[in-house]
Amino acid sequence: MALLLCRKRAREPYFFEKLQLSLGSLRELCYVIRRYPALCMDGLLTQELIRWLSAQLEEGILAERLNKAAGAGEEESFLLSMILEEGDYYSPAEIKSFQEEYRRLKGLEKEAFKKETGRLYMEAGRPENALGELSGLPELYQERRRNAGDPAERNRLSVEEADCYCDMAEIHMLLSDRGSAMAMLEKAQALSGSIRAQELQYLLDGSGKLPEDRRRALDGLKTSAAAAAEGSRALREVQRIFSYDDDKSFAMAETMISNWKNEYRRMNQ
Amino acid sequence: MKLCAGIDLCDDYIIVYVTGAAGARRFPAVISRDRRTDEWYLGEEAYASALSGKGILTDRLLTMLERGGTATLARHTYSGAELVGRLVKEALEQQLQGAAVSDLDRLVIAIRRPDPRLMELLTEAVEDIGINRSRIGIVSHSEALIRFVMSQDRNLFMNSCAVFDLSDEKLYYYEMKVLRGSAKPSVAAAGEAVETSFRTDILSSESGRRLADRIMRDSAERLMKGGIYSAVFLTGKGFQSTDWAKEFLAFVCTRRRVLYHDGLFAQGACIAAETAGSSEEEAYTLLCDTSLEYELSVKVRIRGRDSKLILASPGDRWFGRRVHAELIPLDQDYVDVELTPVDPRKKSRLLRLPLTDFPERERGCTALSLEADFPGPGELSLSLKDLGFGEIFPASGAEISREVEL
Repeated sequence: MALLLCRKRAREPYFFEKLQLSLGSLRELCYVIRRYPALCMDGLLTQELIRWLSAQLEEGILAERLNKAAGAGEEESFLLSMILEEGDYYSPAEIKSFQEEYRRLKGLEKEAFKKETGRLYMEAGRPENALGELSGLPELYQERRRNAGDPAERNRLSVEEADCYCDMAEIHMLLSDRGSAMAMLEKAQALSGSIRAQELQYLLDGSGKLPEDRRRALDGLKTSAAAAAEGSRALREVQRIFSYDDDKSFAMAETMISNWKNEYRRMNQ
Repeated sequence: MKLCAGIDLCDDYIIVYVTGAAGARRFPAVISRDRRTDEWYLGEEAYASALSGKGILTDRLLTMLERGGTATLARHTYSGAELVGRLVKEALEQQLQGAAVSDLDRLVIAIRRPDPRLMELLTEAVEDIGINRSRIGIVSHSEALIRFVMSQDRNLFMNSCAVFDLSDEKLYYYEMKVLRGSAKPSVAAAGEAVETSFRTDILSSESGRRLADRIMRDSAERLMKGGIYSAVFLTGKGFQSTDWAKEFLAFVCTRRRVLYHDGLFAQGACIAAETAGSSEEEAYTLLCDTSLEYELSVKVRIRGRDSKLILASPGDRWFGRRVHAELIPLDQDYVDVELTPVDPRKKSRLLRLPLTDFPERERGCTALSLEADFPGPGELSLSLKDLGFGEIFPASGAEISREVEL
């Protein structure tokens, strides 16, 4: 139990494109590094970020140390750990666990790393980015399957590829793209008789050969999801009413009236 | 040299002291406006103009200001703020010898009771006569007393000091003491109106003078009982002559120095004006009705070590003070604010602000804005607001506040 003292906030935030997120303090940067390590690898630590640390957060010493370490060829994990240490947000044990996680991610195969990245994008509420990350995966699995001699290995890769299609189908469902979701599920079912694919299909259109108890469970899931969605829609509507912007609505009304006037003129010409 | 002025302002008088002046100047706190022209008179001149029928007089201006009252003079209605501003301006101009009021580097006004509303109204009234708000200060008589005494020979404040302030209507008693024993000594002062008081009108008759002397002596014996005093200061219109106070003087003059100084509070206010804004640390901690008598702090963790974040220190002036800190709680759903009195005999207090109805988020993802302000002497107002965590977790608007009597 403790209280941390907040440090200087940036006047101009740093925009982290991968997460479409504006970062305003060193603590927020530390959070992003430790929470989404795979997304921070090869891309977050740029000269622009170091300049921002120095100019906006008055972390000149940290910026200088980062530049020095980068110049000396230190690894990225070392540089990111330097930021975490300076941020005084995580304990030494937490920083150590970040370093271990970084090493684990570095050791992952390309496919597993992409999956991990997709998972983190989903956790960060960026399904489009997750889809982009996963869409290259089937090709990688197919290539490896072609080169694999062992039938068991080929079978395992097929299952993984089908699983990847299921992941993508779920994201399409989340984005209300029913057609693409169906296409993904068809591909998954063509590769293996995946139960997950059958369940997703049942959720989508009510088809598929599933045992009765499983159907009932999925129906219950569907009902509660629909209720939650309705609640969320109502909440959004309340928020919209409360955040009603007079200026914006007047501007919109002005545009509408001028459009009507133009239409009227055109009709009379 | 800075041009500063100190004013002692009450309902019945205004005393002005300007840097480098030989002494303070007292005026009755009345002004009058000429019936025909926009000419104003102050003090005795105001009385004279009213008696001759030339001007219309108004008085008790501080009370008028406090109550939001107005006065109609020569068909014009003036607010209390306008009249107090006019009173201060006229009094200052008579002492500034050609310099304009706006030339003042700093003006400090001493009032009896440090009421925050009156202090704000008075600041606004003085601002309207052309003195920038940043150059105006309001202090209490207790603070002005400390400033004055601490600028005198140190033999005068080796032990306690007593002050008898005899105005037309009441007797006020103040005490000041230097508390040694720590690296930085503290100076405490407090004052009150004496219940067994009298109007100075009674001094016009022999029997009244005898009664006044008896009341003064009895009051002095009661108030100074058991104390060791290095000096006794007499101030106020009632002490302009001390012929009537033989018994009283015989008591107070025993083994201590007795000094008469009419502009004591005005000079103290002027010293406060001269020392304000100085980069030098004050030699003593001020403990009176305009300053805090405790330390306000929060325990924070910096690089794994517990340390104390001091929000306000003893001696800091509470009027207009607002302190602010941004904190992130880790594994705790409350914020503790500690109040440590400067007096070691008093106990510290822990004020807990629970984060009730604050959104639950990931560990360390709630930044809080802690604000403390001081609505009046002995009052503390604390508030805690959810700031969220940047764009990652936007602020929820959750807020709690707590009023504390100190």
